[in-house]
Amino acid sequence: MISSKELNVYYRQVHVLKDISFEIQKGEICSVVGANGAGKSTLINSLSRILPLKSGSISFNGEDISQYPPHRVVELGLIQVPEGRKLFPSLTVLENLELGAYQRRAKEKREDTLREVFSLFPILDKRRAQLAGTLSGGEQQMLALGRGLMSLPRLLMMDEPSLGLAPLIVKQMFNTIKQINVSGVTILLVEQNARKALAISDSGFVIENGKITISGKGSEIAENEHTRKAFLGL
Amino acid sequence: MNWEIFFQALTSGILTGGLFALVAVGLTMILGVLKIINFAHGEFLMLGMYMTYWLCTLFNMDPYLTLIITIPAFFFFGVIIQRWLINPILDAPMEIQILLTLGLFIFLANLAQLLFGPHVRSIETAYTFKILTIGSVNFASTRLIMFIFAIIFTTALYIFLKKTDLGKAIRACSEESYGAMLVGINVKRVYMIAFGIGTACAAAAGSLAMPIYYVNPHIGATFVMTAFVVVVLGGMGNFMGALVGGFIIGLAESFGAVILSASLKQLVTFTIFVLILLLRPTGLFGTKRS
Repeated sequence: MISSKELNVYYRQVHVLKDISFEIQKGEICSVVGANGAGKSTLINSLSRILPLKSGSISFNGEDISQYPPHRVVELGLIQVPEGRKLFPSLTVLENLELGAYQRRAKEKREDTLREVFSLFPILDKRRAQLAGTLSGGEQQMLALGRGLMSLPRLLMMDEPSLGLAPLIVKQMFNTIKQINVSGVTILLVEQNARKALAISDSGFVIENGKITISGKGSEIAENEHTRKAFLGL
Repeated sequence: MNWEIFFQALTSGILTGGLFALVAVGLTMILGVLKIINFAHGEFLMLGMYMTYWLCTLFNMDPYLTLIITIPAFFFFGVIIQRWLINPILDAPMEIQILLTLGLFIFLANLAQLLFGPHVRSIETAYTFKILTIGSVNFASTRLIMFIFAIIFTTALYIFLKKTDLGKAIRACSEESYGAMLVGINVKRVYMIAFGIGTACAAAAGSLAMPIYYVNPHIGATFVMTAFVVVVLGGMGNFMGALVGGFIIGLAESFGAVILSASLKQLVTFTIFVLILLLRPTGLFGTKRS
């Protein structure tokens, strides 16, 4: 589905990602585990083609996207739900969702997708005319996810979807992620909550200081001695 | 002040306010979407006036008919300026951006002076001196036409921003450009369109003003200062604020002219400007930016 080869990315003067090579298979949930500042968000932003690559390449569905601008990557179905949601606060819930389907491929099916998103998150339907900035944290996260789904993702990258949410909502969020995956969307998950993330993941890798140190099946990583100590608090 | 003068000032203020609103809406659009303070905005208006002047003078066109040329011409002019001058410095520090638009302002004013000379020019049409009377209130027909067009343009722009996908994308970029990029909006392209629309608003205002005001290469500065007051008053980057602010300043100037004297009308405007900055820097409709 997506793979990178020896990716090197700088953020300002700092060498954040060092020789990152990985591959995610179609239909998988893949978790990226790592401490704050290890380079997880930088990786996602590199894949979204927002950050320039110093060297290396990214291939999505067999297409080399290393030189694509961000909007073209979206058209291909490589969608990011960013950390901090990045909603449009003074636009309505409905407008936020509509903008999710801004690109042609998604726009053609906008009405159908909208119905699906509303059936997944009925609360968004109820709040459709409300301004996004007035929603609660959990609702905003649903809206961010809903907006991502409106883009008809083939690969959905989620950056800290559970950040700042109440435990009950976090549980719902993970159920929803599984549900989205079952419907055929490949998922790349970046989570502080590594234990929960790995529990629903088929595969995963650990980033430390910008390098992939461990990769494998989700369960293997969850059981790895080093990850248990460093990231799972066991 | 008797009622007669009151209504006269009220009418005149509202009619002029429509023009101020159109200029300010263009300026606030550029400010809101691009976060750029466009000092050259008044020069676009000045150039719009000249274009109308020359089309009327050389081809005998009706000044209002020239709108169908000035609006698209200045839209593309704005797109080009954004593409080649502003996009390259979008990530530069604020003072660099200010220097650029300030430089553009000086360049365009002097270019106009070089091309058209420093003379004051005006046009005359069959209806230039036609005065309309409602009750005891008199006003030039050209002012009413200017007002009507200005309202049509701002309303059309408002509907465009509210209802169309492109309009929503422009609003999205003005609020959260990063989020806009992630939903697949070509942000730089939206910036070009926004700057083009802002420029077209200023030029359209110029065309509408041409049958009423004289044009010279330095008239832009007068309008841009007023437009800045309107934009700050309305809350920077706020569309409705610019619209309402335009009318407030239009009324303030016309009542200022009556109460104080015509030469002091700008005093009222800038007194309002200073008071707003001191007491409510976010403007009437503005919200605090995080």
